[in-house]
Amino acid sequence: MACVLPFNCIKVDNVEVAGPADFEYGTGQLTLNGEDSATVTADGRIHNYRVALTPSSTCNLRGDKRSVETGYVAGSGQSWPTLAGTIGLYLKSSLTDASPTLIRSFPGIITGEYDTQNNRTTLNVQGDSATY
Amino acid sequence: MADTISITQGSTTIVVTPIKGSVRAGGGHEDRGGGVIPSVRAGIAKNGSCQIVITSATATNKQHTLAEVLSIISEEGEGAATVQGAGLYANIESYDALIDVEIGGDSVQTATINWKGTYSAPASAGTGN
Repeated sequence: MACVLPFNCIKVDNVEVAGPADFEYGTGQLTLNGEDSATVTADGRIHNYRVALTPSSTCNLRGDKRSVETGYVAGSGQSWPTLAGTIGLYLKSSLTDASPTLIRSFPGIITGEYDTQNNRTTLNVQGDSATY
Repeated sequence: MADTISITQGSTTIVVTPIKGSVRAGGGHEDRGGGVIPSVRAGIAKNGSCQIVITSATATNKQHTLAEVLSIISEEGEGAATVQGAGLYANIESYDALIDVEIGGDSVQTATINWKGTYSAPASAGTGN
């Protein structure tokens, strides 16, 4: 099974990098994939077990927002290998919502693709179930 | 009696009022054998789902805020949630369940709550449960 949840605000290491005004409305979607298994005991009871709940998410932002990518380097610089940051996905009820609802926080990497035809950036955020 | 479903995850219990007609239950049993081997149903599942409308504030029998709905999602580990219906849904139940939530809808924001569990409450400690 999987959970599908909305978001319209992204924070990286607790710093907001994209808010509702940057999002194409309704495009923020987080999927939590449960890696589940089941065993059966002799009493006929099924014991479900979840070994991981792996997050992956996608959203469209207005304009060129590749600067929010993990390890982004402006110009021709070179990035050192960059560890996953703590990604916080939130849902704000309004543009000025001071206490948005935290949908999920996880260590993750952000990748973006800028589309010049539509002036939008599609972001993918891949994360881990566990923090190491 | 109100037509509700209560979902308990750890120390958290929320009571929801499903959208009429959205409740589903059944399937997911563990079957063995087949072919030339006699078929056996080894494990009885109690799986199901219902839909609710996300609200901005809690009301009686409608604990439907985003934070409340998020609080029942199963994290890693053994399925441990309990689902119990009342009123029209009195025959809905599931134990040791994993819970997932899906929030969608472009206009009215609805949440689909899915559960997969088994037919009885855990036996008391020390009995091999």
